[in-house]
Amino acid sequence: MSTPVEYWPFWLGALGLTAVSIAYYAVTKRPLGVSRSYDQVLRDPRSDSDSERLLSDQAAMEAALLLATQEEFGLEIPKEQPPDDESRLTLPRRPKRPPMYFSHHLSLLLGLLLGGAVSASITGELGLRWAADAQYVRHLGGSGAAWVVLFLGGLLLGFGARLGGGCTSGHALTGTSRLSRTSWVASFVLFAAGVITSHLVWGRSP
Amino acid sequence: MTSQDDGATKPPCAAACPHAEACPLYDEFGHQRLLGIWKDRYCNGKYQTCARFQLARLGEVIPTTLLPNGKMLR
Repeated sequence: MSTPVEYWPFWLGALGLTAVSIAYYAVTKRPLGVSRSYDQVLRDPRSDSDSERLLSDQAAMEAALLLATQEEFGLEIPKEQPPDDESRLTLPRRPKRPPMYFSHHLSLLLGLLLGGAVSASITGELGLRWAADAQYVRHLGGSGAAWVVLFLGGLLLGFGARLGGGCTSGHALTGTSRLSRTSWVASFVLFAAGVITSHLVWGRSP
Repeated sequence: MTSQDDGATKPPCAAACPHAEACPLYDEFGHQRLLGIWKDRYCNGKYQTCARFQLARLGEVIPTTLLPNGKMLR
C-alpha cells in the first residue's frame, strides 16, 4: 500500500497511552512492559506459575522461607509461632501484588493486536496484506528479501529489548514516568537510534 | 530505611544492595526476625554474591523465588 499512514493526533495518542498504562498498573500492580509479556508467553508457561502462586500465599511463602533458612544456615526454627511471638516483627506489609499468569500476558499481547485492528477498522484500513510495503521492497530488495530482513530486524529488536531490560513501553512509557535513570538513558538511545536509522534508510525522520 | 528490624539485622556501616528496595524477597526477609539472617549475609553484607544481584547485573530475568544462595524457593 503506497498511501501514507494517517497518524492519530499526538495528544490523543498520549491520552490513550496514559490510560492504558494507568489501567494496567491498577489491575496488575506492575508497570506496563510489553517485551516482558512476550518473554513470559514464549517461555515455558509453567516455569514461573508456581512461584507466583507461592508469592500470593503469604503463609506458604513464610513457611518456605523459614525452611530454606533452616537448610541454608542450620537454624532452629520454632515449630509454632504465635502471632505475638517476639520473632515476628510488626512492620507494615507492602500490599501484595496479584499473581500474573500466562493468560494475563497473552491477553495483553492479543489486546495489542485487537486494538490495532479496531483502530484500523475505524479508519477503513483493516485488511490482510501479504506483500511487503513498496518502500521496504525499494530499500531492501524483492518482497521475499524484504520479509527476511524484517524478520531478522524483529529478532534483533527482541534481543535488544531483553538485553536492555525492556522496550519502548517499559522504558520510555513507564520507566521515565517513574523517574528511572536507566529508562531515561535507554529512551534517549532508543529514539536517537531510531532517528539516525531513519535518516540513513529513508532520508528523513520517522 | 528506618524500619524497626534494621537496627537488629543491619551491621553498622555495611553497604546495602542497590536493588534491595525493589527486591520482593528483601521485603519478605523483613517480617520475621529469623529471616533477617539473609539480609545480614547478602542484602546488607556481601550482596555481590547474591544470585539475584548477579542476574540483575547481567540484565537477566530474575525468577521471583530465586534465593540469594542460588536455590529456588519451594
